[in-house]
Amino acid sequence: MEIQPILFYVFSAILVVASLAVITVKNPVYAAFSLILAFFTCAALWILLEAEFLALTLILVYVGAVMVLFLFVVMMLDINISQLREGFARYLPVGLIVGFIIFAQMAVVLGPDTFGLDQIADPVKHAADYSNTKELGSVLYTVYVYPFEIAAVILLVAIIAAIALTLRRRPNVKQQNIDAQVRVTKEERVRMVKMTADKKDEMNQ
Amino acid sequence: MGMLQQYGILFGLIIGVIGFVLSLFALNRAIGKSRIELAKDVPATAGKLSRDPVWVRYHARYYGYALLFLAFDMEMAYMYPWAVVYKEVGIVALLDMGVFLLILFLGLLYGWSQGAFRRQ
Amino acid sequence: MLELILTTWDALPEILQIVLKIVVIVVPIMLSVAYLTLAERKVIGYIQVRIGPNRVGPKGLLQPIADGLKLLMKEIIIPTNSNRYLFIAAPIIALAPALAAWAVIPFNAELLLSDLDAGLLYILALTSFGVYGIIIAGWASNSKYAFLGALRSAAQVVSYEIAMGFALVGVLLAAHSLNIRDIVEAQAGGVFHWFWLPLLPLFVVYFLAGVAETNRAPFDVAEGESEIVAGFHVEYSGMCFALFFLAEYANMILIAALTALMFLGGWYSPFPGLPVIGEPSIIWLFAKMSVFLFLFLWFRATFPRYRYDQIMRLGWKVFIPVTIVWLLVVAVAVLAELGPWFD
Repeated sequence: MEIQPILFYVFSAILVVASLAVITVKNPVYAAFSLILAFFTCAALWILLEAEFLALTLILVYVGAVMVLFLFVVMMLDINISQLREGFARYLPVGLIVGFIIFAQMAVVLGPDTFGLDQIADPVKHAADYSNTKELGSVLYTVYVYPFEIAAVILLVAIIAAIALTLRRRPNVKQQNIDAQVRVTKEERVRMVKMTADKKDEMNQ
Repeated sequence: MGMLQQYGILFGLIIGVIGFVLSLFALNRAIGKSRIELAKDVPATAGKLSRDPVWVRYHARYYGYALLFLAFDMEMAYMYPWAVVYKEVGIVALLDMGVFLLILFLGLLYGWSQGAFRRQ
Repeated sequence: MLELILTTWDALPEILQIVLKIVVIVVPIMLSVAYLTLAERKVIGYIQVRIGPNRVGPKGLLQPIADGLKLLMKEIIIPTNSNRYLFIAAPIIALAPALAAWAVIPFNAELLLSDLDAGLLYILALTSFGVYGIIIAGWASNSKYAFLGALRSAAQVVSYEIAMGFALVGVLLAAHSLNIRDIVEAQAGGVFHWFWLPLLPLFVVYFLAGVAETNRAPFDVAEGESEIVAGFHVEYSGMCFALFFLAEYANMILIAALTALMFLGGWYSPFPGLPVIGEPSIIWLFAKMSVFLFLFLWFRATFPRYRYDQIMRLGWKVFIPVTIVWLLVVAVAVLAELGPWFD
């Protein structure tokens, strides 16, 4: 038997277990770590598909950035877990309905009618020097320019939101003006005062 | 060697490192001694346990940096394939990325004007 | 003799070859880390007109071994109310990416473990994972100093990662490849063919961001002995503490190697054409790495620690704008096929 199907099932099993752990473990920090594990196994699955660039970007962006953000939030929260669990029974029906709708939609879109092996052929095996990144780049900046620029606008919104959300204006904070500090000259800080020298015995009186 | 073998090696290396560290721990267990002492395991907070819980809310600015980082990291991820194919695509790629960066530069300008990067 | 070795090498099964290669790469890194600590103490000693360690072995040469053994025998103390599993896992998480990144570093055109096409991206992904070791250590310790150090460190590492990543985009523009061996081979030739000259601001930003990424002085607010005791690893003792140390020094050597490979032509000699010393060789790579490692030590002996807000200002307001502007310059230069680098 080939090793690839075995790897696929092993990684998929880990992915499913990790995703379940995200929503079932009590400690939110553990939930965040399960999510990291889920991202890792997902990247491994993409590597099995030879989508090398996407897999590494998944780790770079999601594990390296998004989850750092999550952890910042989760670690700094002083959550009372029992309080959180109180509403569980009340929200369960709504949750189940939403979950079912999402599942049905995914089944329609990702079902065998559209994604089956007779619709989409097996991915081609490439040689070692095949560059996934190059393939992606050669279409992203020519054929898909428009979505690419839209991504910039979305990122702009994210940046502005990040700044607006966390910026706290305090009116009377003293701030250092470093440029002014560096540019300062001797004349601004030191004043030479001419004084007549006093006699020693006059001072002692 | 195919791509999968290459990644197999990397996976093996990570497993190897973890194995190495665990064997160090085992060695430590084997040759080290443990003494039972009073208050040995109190965290470094002047000899007694902290009165308040440690895991409390801190300044929100850390969160802001993380959010900004996320946006820029995404931008970076877009620039890698761009840089690789840049020479082949030519001037079109330069214009594409110029517009992309210009849009994001507006964000930086906004942050600057609001004093988001100043000390508070 | 050499042929005998080569034929036996080829006769070995592939898996054994790989294991041997891993050993050949990891063991020297561990030794270099050990001796880098000695070099640090010696260099800083001489800079401060002291002799440095000179008791253990001739000229103190066995000092790192003694330190290692001492740390190995010490007990690992787990603080009260801390999260024990994460507390033990944190140093492993810090060390694993620092060593795993070496798999894609080529030492010369042949000696490398894994010739990934997206090698540079792999290294970036791994280094971005390194911050977890710090965050987890700070959180799991149940100590305010540790937690504060972890937060500072995470915000700092995250800020400089951006500057570092942008600086690498410049290298990619010049070399059109994510494969590190291709990047070095794009710099074939003498000193003036290497990328440090056309990418000079990126080169400086990359190295300084590397110093900040490894939490080394003058960017060491994460440890800040005089303010938050030792930051994220204040509660760690014995082997766990040693692992954080190993990770930090392995990362330093990694940054030195990457800077040498991407901006200083890796294994190429600065004097091509001359006999013997003009040959590309692994020795040149080591020489270039040593220069950067010496800079790390020199910085620590010379500069006072940056204040936290100064670090953030430098990262966001100086490094990132400088790199973005210079990227545009490089992009235009590549289109103009400016010679000897981009033709």
